[in-house]
Amino acid sequence: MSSIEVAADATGMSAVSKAMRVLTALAHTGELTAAELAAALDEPITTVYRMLSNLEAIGWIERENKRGGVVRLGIDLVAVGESVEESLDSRQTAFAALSRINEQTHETSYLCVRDGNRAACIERIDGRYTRTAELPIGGSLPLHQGAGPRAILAFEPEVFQERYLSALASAQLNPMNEADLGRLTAELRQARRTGIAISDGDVTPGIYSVAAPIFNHRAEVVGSITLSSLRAGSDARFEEYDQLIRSEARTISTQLGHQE
Amino acid sequence: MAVSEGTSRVLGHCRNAVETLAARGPLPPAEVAKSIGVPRPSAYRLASALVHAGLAVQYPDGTVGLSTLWLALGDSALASAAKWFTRDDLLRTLRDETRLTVFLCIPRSNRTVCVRRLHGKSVQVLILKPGGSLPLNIGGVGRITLAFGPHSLDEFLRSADPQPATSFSITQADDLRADVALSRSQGYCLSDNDSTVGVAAIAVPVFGDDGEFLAALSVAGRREEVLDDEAQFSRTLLDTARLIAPRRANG
Repeated sequence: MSSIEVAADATGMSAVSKAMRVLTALAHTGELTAAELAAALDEPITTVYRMLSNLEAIGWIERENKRGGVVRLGIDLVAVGESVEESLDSRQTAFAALSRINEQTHETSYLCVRDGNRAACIERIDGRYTRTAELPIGGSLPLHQGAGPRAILAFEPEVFQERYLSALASAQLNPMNEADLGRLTAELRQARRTGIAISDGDVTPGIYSVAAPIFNHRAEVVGSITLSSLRAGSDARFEEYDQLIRSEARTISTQLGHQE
Repeated sequence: MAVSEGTSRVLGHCRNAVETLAARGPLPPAEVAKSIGVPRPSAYRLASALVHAGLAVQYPDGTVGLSTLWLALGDSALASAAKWFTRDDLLRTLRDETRLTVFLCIPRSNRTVCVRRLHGKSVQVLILKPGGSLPLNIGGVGRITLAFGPHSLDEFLRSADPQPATSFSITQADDLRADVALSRSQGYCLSDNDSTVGVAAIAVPVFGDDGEFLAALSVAGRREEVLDDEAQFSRTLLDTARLIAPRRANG
């Protein structure tokens, strides 16, 4: 196997990295004139004009025809972005994380995604010694029940949360009372602050679950991963679990293009 | 530092490599070389430059694939392509009312490029997705752009050789001329089987304040769904088109 770690020739390397600088500047600001680009990149305007001609020729930027017209990213980049997005497999990415968690802790871990007002488990690895019963693959829970579902709800947009909570309060069957609503609201706030949702026996008595949200490149929550175990042993173990789930969720998000 | 003569050639290869990786997923550089027709050492250098710039990543198995940086570039390109457009809510309403797939497409040289697609409630029409495009002789969005857009029919015929997408597509100059005249007289375009067999669409133009053509708006679905309600759908589309056009604030 040959490696691409060979020295790139100067022209190729500099052409591509210069192109990248132009694309990055435009991605940040949306539209710039050639003069503004020259200032932003600290390059002579003549160099910028040449770079723009080259980039326009390959469809990566577009220019308004008039003098001093703005430059923006080319529409062709949208199709490339779409292809990359389609190729991302959040399930496969998460499965690798669940495997690492299982290897390290021997506990149950699973991936949840939102399905309307519920969170559904779509991937799961059982613990080596015990298997917690909540959320088998294909199973689902309302978004406010359990760590995994709550880790999703807490990071949904505010309007979604408000609508969800008011639906709970005005439900025909078993409407949620003020006190429970207040507790849930506080839990969601806590999850947003700490980056994890914890369920200590609220779905299954004696089960400690900790979950962290997964984000896509638009910083939208796309699911959560949960680590769930018997409430036995020391609290120190749970602190370690909290850290682990947080960092694995972050790894998945990064692989999905999320930038913090 | 001067941009050398080789730059445009390098960037051309670069674009081809990116498009190959977008279409086929991660590949060994040797495969990229074959696909874009450059010597292997060039492909290795190119891959290395792309990885160095953060546009590609190298996997442990030696293959090279596009990085997630393209997601942000694509989103940003989409946002600046039609900066005037801010009314996604109206497209959602249009989709919910018609239950059909909604497309918003902007004109580019000899083609119309999709910037929004909202899936319909029954059949999903897949011929166009954000960033994808149709030539101006194909589909409701293509043909309405030909009728009202910045490129005249003669320009289009001079620079592009109209190709069919199905056996129902319009490709002859005289037929296109008649189609443009019909679209102009009725204010909308009915596309029936000409982009995808079994699919029909109705498209209308979106104009800006100065009367300039900004975009094509369409609804598409199964033929029966669309054809039965042609009059109603075209009215709804024209109303939406008026509302999504940007208005200059008066005082």
